[in-house]
Parts: sequence; C-alpha cells; structure tokens
Amino acid sequence: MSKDLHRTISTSIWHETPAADNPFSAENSYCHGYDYYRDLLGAYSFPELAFLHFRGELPLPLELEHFNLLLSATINSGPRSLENLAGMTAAVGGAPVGSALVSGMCAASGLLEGGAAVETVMEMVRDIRAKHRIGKLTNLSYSGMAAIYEQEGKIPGFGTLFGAQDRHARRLAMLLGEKGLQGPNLRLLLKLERLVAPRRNEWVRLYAVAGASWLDLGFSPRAAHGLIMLSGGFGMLAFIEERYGQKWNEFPTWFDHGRYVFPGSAT
Amino acid sequence: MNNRHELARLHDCADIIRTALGGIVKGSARFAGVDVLEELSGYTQTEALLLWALGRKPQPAETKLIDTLICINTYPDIRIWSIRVAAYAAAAGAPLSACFAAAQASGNGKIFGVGALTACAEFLQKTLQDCAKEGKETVIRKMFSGKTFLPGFGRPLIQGPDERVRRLREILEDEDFQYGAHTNLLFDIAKKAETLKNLFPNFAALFAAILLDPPFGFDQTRITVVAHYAMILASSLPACEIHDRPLGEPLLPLKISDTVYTGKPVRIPGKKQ
Repeated sequence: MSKDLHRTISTSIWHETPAADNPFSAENSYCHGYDYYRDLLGAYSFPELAFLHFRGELPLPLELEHFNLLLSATINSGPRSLENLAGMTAAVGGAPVGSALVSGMCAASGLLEGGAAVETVMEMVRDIRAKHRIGKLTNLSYSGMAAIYEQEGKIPGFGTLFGAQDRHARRLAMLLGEKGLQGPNLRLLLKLERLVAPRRNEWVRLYAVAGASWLDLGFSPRAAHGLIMLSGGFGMLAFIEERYGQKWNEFPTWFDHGRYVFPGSAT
Repeated sequence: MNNRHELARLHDCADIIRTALGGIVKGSARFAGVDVLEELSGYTQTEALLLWALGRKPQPAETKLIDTLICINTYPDIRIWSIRVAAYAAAAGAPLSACFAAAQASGNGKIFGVGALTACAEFLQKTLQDCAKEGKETVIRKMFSGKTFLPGFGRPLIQGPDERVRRLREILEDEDFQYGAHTNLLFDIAKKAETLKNLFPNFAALFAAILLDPPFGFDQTRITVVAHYAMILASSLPACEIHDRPLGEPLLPLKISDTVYTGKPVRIPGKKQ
C-alpha cells in the first residue's frame, strides 16, 4: 500500500491568498491572521512582529519588554567567543559574508554555550519543575540533581565564563528581577545555583538565565535554541563585516614557531 | 501586472523536477547515467565524482591524479582558516555535521580554498585567451611591466617555492604526464615571476591549471566541486579530534589584551524619550 504523500505545506503561521491572474503571486499575506503588509508593517516594531511569529499573538507590553530584554542580552558574545571567532575567521579568509555567517552560526548552535546549551538547560529546568510538581523531587538536593542531569562532568547551565563567574548572567537576572520578569523557571534556576556553586565553584551562565526566562515567556527549548543563535547573529555579522575592511594578517594566525604541537612537529 | 514569460516558466516548473544527474528509480537509483546498485557500487568515490564531472567512466590514471591532487593538499593544520573555523565549531560543541558545514562554507575564501582556486583558473583562462590574440611573450612582458597582482603566486604565510608544487611535478614527470596549455603557460609565467619578483606559483595555481587542461577540461562548477571534495579530509578530521575532547576544553582562548579597541571612548547614552 503506498503512503499518503502530501503535495502541500501545512502551516498555521502564514496564509497567502492568490492573485486572480497568477496562482504563484500572493495578493495578501496574513501572519497569524493579520494582513502583514497592510496592517502590521510600519505599525509594529521588529520585536513585536518576531514575537507574533512564534506565539501567534502580538505581545502585551510586559511580554514585549521581556522579549526585547532577552534578545538584547544575547546579541553579542564578544570578539573572543568561539562562534564570533568562527565567523570572523571565515571572513578573514575572504569568504563571502553569507558563507562567513553560516560558519559562525554553525558554531553558535553548540552545546558549550550556544543554542544546544540553551535547549539542554531549559529541558532540565522544565523536567525538574515537572518532577517537583508531582512530588518526585520533594527535597531538591545537589546530589539528586547531579545524579540525573550531570553529563560529561557538567551540569547544564552552570560553569564559568573565561574562568570567572559570569557577570552578564548576574546582570540579566538582576534586570529581570527589577522589572518583575523573574518567573518560576528562572527562580528555580537561581535556586539551583545555590546548590551548585558551593560544591563546584561554578555559577549560572548567561545562556541559562536567558533560557530559563524564555521558558517563563512561554517559548519552547527548540525555539529558544534558534532565537539565541539569531540574536547573536547581529553581533556576529557586525564583527564579520568589520573584518572585510582589514587585512588577513590583522587577525591572529598562530603560525609563528612553537604554537602548534603534534607528533613530528619538532622535526 | 505579470511578466508573462516568468509566469509561463513558473507553470512549466510547477509539480515537476527535471534533472540530468539522476534520482531514485524502483529498486535502485541512477547516477550520471549508470545504475547505482548494479554499476556505481563498483566505483571508488573519486571515480564516481569523475563520472559526473567528465560524463564518462574515468581512466585509472585520471582517478589517481585527482586523488594525488587531494592527498598532496591534505594539510590538517588547524591554523589554516577553514580548518580553524571547523575547529572553533567543534570546540563550541556543535554537531560534527555543522562543523563540516562551517569549514565548507568558509572554504570559499580568496586567500585559500575554493575562491583562490577559481581565481587562478579565471586568470589562466583569460591570460591564455590574451596570448592567442597578442602572443605569449607580449602578454607576459606586459604582465610584469607594471604592478600586477598574480593570482596563484605567493603564499600569505610562507616565502619561497611551494613544496606541494615541487612534489606534484616530481610525481607527474615521473609518470610522463603531458602538461596542457594552461599548465605550460603557468610554468612560463612562473619563470618570469621568480626572476623578476622572487615569486613562486602556489599549489592552487597548479591545481587549477591541471583541472583546466586535458584530460579534465573542467568548467568553474566542476573546479569548485573538486575543490570542496578536496577539502573534506583536511578540514573535517581536525574537527573530529577537537570534537572528541571533553566539552569546554579551551581552543586558542584569547585574553582581553589580545583584542585592541579602536572605537569610540566610553560614554553614557542620552536619556531615552
């Protein structure tokens, strides 16, 4: 028996009505029911329209403030982060800007502190809250948490930034608190930090604070994985674009002697 | 208002894919004119690549030459830009396929990789065409009379002759390989470049020349595909090694002092309205 093969794309996000004389041309384009180019464009901001894509509704004022803050917090991981270095290195080699951005974005999806890291910590927080609600983790303890969630010696969301406590994470958590935007997921994450930090000398990371807060705002781990990559793309693109005005040797190479060690390198 | 021609093309292409390469058929697939399970399964990977690129099954010597070109260029040094990009992605914990994609995307550079190779190919093709009109001696003399950039000459990091060119020539000349017009032109330019500018052809130039000449006679698309194919070993395996290290093991971490700020001084933003 043959499978029922679809020839259409089914989506709840974007609805197009065809022009009378051209079945390929869209007369109107509706985003979650709103006429995008007639009623939304020019009337709503980029963050509002981005929020609409994911949540299906235009944000309330507090939701917009929350959304803006989270995107802004992860807009630039700095010129020394692995993902920005990947993008910049591609640009230094003369790759076109799109290719350089692809290279950087591939790194930005990583498990260390990129999209996959956000997704993992959000799943952990969500799981802990779910178990806590149904009484399986009645006394939240470090050993209990580590036993379940520690992977390869790491607890998702915790660590250091260049060997130090992540100041940006502290700043974001504080701002969210000041604005009344700390929800139950972020509060749980900060509670977990009180368990983790004394034992491991590791603290909550910025991506984890953002991730827990994305949960509070109603976003899925997968969506947050992508959003943290996209928001960081702005800083990445700025660094990439800056490289095109510079020579290849105005960027670290490590080709001087003694910087690269492997079997046979001494000969 | 519609563009009738464009609209007709859309209708023509809707609901149907036309391709010369091949696809799935019942019980097998077809690739560049051969049955995948019955015939292509007996090819090596390079033979399959050349089947597509040449439009016929390659001779053993042709396959061996492509493999030699690839292997001679397999420098798995993470300091090379496209390889470093893959290594950064691996150190960031990206999936290996994303690391490979990062390397391939960045491989389209101008100072190395696909971009360098295609620039060399364009330069040699154009110069050969000019030689047909004006004569080789005149063209090469003009080339060195002013300040001319020679794609495929020199290397950013190492001075002197390219050791890969030397080794490749040894191998080819041992096998009595017959150089074609682009390659011979490259060698003629190289003689002048060494004498007048102490410049030497790099491997990309010779690689491009060989791909342009018989038995290959490749166009830019085929040159690009071979170049990406050639990058895979060198760029993917270092990424695998980094990927297998514990997550979080630093890769070339930079101190704050390793960056130099050249922008505006520290300031306070104006009050938001």
